Amino acid sequence: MSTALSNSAFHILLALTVGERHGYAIMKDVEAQSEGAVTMGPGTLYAALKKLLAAGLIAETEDRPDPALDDQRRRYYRITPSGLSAVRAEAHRLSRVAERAGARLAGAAPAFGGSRP
Amino acid sequence: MSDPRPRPWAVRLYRLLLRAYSPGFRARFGEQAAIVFADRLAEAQRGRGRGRVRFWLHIGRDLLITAIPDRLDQLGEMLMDRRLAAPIAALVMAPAGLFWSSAIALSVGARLGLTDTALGPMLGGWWPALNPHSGAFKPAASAALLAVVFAGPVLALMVLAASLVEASVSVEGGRFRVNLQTRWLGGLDAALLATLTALGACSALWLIPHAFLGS
Repeated sequence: MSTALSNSAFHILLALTVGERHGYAIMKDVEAQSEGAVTMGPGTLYAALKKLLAAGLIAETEDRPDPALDDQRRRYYRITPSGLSAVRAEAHRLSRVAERAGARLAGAAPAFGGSRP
Repeated sequence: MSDPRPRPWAVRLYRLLLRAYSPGFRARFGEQAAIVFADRLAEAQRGRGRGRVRFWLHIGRDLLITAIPDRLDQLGEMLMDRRLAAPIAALVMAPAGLFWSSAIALSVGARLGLTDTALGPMLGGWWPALNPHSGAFKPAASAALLAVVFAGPVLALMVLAASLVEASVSVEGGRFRVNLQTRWLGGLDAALLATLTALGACSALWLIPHAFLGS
């Protein structure tokens, strides 16, 4: 049985599935894909990236951006095959949770005035 | 329209605040965090005053919730570092050392018949309860003394054992794997550990038959 990824780790991995990204781009993608529900500060972002790097789920790329296009000091990150497996497993788990929640809510009694089981 | 470029003082302030993180974190991610901060600040400056206040509150909260765990991680890594194993063992052994010395003195005193004279004032009201030859001897008190005496070395050995094993977790094929790697003691660590263990063993061998069994 695999352990569930943290919310921020899941969103960061998901942001990297579309390609290599630097910190700020990851942050913006996470905000967009979570519909604004997950907003990370620089500390939260790099603390999460540190853990993901240590776990081998992401890797830092050696490529540096074109100085004419972007700040050369920026570091880019990419997802590893292990990271891709982990994010797929977590997405699958979440979809099962959402399915169960949907089924339960469909049969739920109204909040007020409903009978108790 | 407000200037979207980040204020230099704000970036300098953030770099200063980054000192809340461990040196390792700063060396690896400090520059990147400052760049992301500048990006975020530029974004916030496009908004009105309330957005800026919210931005700084968000940054403050972000620092608080991530710098403290980072420092705790650093402390944990330092404690797990084998270079610190021997000093930690010595620290743990220090309180126990007092009891070892007392036990040796107690044993010598019992053999020479000087126990009551030598240890009576030192242990005060405790001595009759610990002295097997006194009428007020309490086995539970002796057991407690033995437990205290042995707790130090046992803790020290546990710390040393923990420092010799390096654990890491990785995910392979969607499954988490725990990797354990053993490390060897340096010459000085090994010598100190051997000395402390020998001292503890000799004291225990001396203490039990001479002082507590009355032989």
